[in-house]
This record gives sequence, structure tokens and C-alpha cells, in this order.
Amino acid sequence: MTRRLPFVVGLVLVAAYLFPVYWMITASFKSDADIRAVPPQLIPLAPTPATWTSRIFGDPRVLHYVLNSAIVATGTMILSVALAAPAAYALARHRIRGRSVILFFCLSSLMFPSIMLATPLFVIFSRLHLTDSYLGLILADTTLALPYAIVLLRPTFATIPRELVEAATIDGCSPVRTFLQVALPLAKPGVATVAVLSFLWGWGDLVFALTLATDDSKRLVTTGLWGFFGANTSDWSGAMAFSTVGMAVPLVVFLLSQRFVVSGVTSGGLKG
Amino acid sequence: MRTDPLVTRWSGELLPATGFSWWRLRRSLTGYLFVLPAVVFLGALLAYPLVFNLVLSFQDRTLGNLFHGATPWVGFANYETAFADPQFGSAAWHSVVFTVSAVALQLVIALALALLYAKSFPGAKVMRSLYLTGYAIPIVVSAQVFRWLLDGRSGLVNWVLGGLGLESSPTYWLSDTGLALPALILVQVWLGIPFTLVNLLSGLVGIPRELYEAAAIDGAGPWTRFRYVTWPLLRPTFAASAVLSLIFTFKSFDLVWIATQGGPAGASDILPTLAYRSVFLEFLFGKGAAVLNIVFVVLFGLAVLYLLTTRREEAEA
Repeated sequence: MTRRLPFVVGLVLVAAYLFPVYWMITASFKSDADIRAVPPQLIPLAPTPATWTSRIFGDPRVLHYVLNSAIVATGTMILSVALAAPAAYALARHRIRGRSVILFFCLSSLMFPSIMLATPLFVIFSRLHLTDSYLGLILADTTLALPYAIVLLRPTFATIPRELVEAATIDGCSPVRTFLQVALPLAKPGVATVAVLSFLWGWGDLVFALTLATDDSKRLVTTGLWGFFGANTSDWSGAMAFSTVGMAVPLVVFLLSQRFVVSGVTSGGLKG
Repeated sequence: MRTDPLVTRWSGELLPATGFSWWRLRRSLTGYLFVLPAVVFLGALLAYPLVFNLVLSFQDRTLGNLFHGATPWVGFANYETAFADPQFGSAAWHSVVFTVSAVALQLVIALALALLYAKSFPGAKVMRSLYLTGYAIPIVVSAQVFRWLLDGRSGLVNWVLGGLGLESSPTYWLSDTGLALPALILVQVWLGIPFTLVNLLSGLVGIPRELYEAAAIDGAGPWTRFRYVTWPLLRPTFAASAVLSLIFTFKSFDLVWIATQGGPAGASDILPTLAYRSVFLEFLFGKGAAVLNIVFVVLFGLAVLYLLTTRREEAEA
């Protein structure tokens, strides 16, 4: 009896919390008239794929933006992991002068607003012809994903049993091989966490996409959504279909890797 | 300077402590080579831009001399311009109201939810992780959905309020000067709940079950157990996630920009949106940089507070 009440309350609350997501997905299957229907249709009475065929699959730009976002998010993920893993390993296992300075800088970067980096990066990237390029966006997103990745990965490497690393070294493994073949495989859960969070970060970024990629050929899902359905939109069905697209990829990535993400969120989070 | 225990152990047990060792040199060099790419990257693309921003805030930079030409030093003129701008004062006030009320509400709701979902009942685990899906959704997407929910003509919120008899005529939430900011605060609470909830849950899980059993044997009721067992042990986690939420909320840009762009008539303008407008729409680079540096000082204060909070937590643990 006492176990049923929390179950019911818990279920009702989580349903209420996720209701906006449900409302978004169902709206994308409603006709324009049904969107405005009074009373609102909690379950679409006449579900139609019309919005999807015309606004999403019928518009080549949408697929283009999705691919752009995928490229930038994947690039951010690869670059962040590639730079953070060796650095975090060395900071955990080697004697590095200035270690505390590096770690303090990484930790304090959690508070840098991306809008604050956008101005200088815009000027620097304009000079280097890196605006409106995938590389520019990947570099910009990595600036804030990387320090977070280092902060998160260092403890992971620190928990690897010393004996394993020592044994590899005694067996004649070079430091690079020890890192790649002994330490890195053992740190897989931490690396996975960092990889997923950097991907989500790269996918969800608005500020750098808004400031560093104004050309339509490099527009991302976030800026595309904003561009299509800006301040004066009343095409809610189209906006909700596009929003569903923007949510789908990170959600799938998140659901596939959930056990890694929870530990990452509890150690500081990376969003906004 | 702390010494790495591994190195001391190596030199003590396996290698002659005196004399020059190629192996040790190679090992210590490797460490630096491992760190170097990340340090170079962060130096060039994180530290340098911050300095650049600081310099920019003391210069007169417009589109004309952004890339070429003389950039005259103007001292604190950009800061004076920023402070003299009435929009700055109202944006700063909105930032404080937005951040403090959103975080306060978010903490209260997340604490109540955490206490519920920390109980073991069938499905509790799945429900906990369902909240986290809110964390995976890009803010731009959530903001777009809430724009529609709060829409005056076809938004669900108006229909519900009307049906309950709380509203006689439709409210245009996001285009009403008095309601835009409160509405955004509520949306921000929705955005922030997953992060706070997961953190508080991880804190609650760490509280030893025996303490509750002991308290129950002593005849403590639910409130007494919360007051004397849960709260003292959860407080460090609570404080840390409070400060982190303050930081994230104070610097957040996406929600307000997508939902209102700071409007109507600046009614929901916050410092990040003001800075974005100054730099990228009005091309007042110096003023924008000045505003961002002020934001930075506030965030730095909060970060110091965070470090002090976690330091104390570690000391108490």
C-alpha cells in the first residue's frame, strides 16, 4: 500500500514534466486546423504526416542542417576526447609543473558564457578565414567542451590501479603505448561520458552557430530552427516537426549511453 | 610543490635515486607532451580570447576598424557608456531576478522530487532517468516548444487557464511587458530541474540507510528525520548545486534569445542578450565587451563561492 502511492505520484509528476515533449511530437502530426482546434486535441484526432512530408522531408535544407550539426557535434566529440584524454592522463599520472594552474583554469572555464567567447572568436576566426567553416565551429565548441572533459577524465585515470601501468612499463611498453593500450581501455566509461557530453554540447550550441556561421551552407539545426521559425512564426506544426528533428538525434545518443551520462551530469554538467 | 607518489616510488624502489636517468627524463617529457596539445589549444582559443575581450572593452572598436586601422584606447568610456545606458540597468536587474527566482524555485521543486524518487518503489529508476531526457534536448528546441505553449492565440496554457476560469481573455505571455520575464523564469525552472534533481538524488543515495533506521527506532517522524538526518547530510550537495545552477542560469542566453530576444521593449532583456545585441546587431564591440566583463566578474564571484562551498564540503566529509 505504502509502495503504491509514491509510484502513482511519481508517474503523474514525470508525465507532467515530459508533457511539453509529448505535445511537440503530436503537434507535428496535426493539420494546421487541428493545431488551432478548441478544445486542443490531446491525442491527434486525424493524424497526418503532411507537415513531415512538406516541411521536413520535402525541404532539402533540413537534411543539410542535420548533416552540418552531425559533422560539428562529431568533430567536437573527437577533438575534445583526443585532446582531453592524454592531458587528463598526464595530469593524473605524471608529475606536471603547473598542474594546479591548469586544473584551476579548466574548472573556472565552467563559468565562461559562450557569448563571452563569441566576440573574440569572431574577430580571430574572421582573420583566419575560419568563419562559415566546420572547423571554426568545431574549434569554438571544443573551447568549452575540452576543459570540462579534462576535469571529468582526470579522476577516471587516477582510479586506474597503479600496478597495471607499472607492469606495462616494466614489460617495456613505451609511455605512449602504455597510455593507448593499458590506461585508455580502462578509462572507457569516463571517455564515453565525455564523448557523449561533448557531442550533446556541439549539437545543442546556439551562440557559436549564430555568430560564427551566418552562411546558409553551414547553418546548423539550432540556427535553422531559429531561422525558419523566428519571432513571427505561426506555423506551429512545422516548428514542432523541426523541433522533433532537433531533439531526435541527441535523444537517441543520450538513451543509448545513459549510464555514462548520469555520472557526467553529477560532476558539473555542461549546458547553456 | 606536491610530488607525484608514483614517481617517488619509482625512484625509490626501482631506479637509482641518484644520477641521471634517460628513462626518467623521457617519462617526465612524455607527461608534458601529453598535456601540451590541450594547453596550447586552451591558451589560444580560451585564454587569449578572454584577454582579447578585456582589451576590447578599453578600445573604440566598430565595424570600420574591427580588422584594420587604428584602435584608439578610450579608458573606461565603454564601461561608462554601458552604465549610462538605461537598458543596462534594467537588463542587470532582470538578470538578477531571472537567476535568483529561477534557481530558488528549481531547488525547492527538485528537492521535493528528489525526496520522492529517492524512495525505492517499482519504476523509480526509470522515472529518474526520464527526467534526464530534458537535459539531452537542446535548449533551442525546448524554448521553441514553450513559445507555442505560451502563445496567445493557440497556446495550451491559455486554454487550460481559461478552462479553469482563471482567465477571461487570452494572455500573450511572451509579448506582455509584465509577464514575459515571469514566464521565462518558469520555463528556466523546467530547463534546470533535471540537473538539480540528478545532483540531489546522488546526494540522497549517499546517506547511509542505518541513520534512518536508527532515527526510526528513536521514534522520529518524517519531518524530524528530514530535519535532523537528511538535511544536514544533503546540505553540501544542495549548496554546490545551488551555486552551479546560479552560474549556469546567470550566463544562459539561448532560452531568452529564442523566446523573446529580450523583448517586448526590453522587458525580458538580460545581460547576455544585451551584450549579444550590442556586439552582433549594433556592432558596438567595446560596449558589448564591457558588459560581458561585468558578467564575468559576477560569475567569477559565484565560482569562488562554489569553490569555497565544495572546499568546506570536503573538509566536513
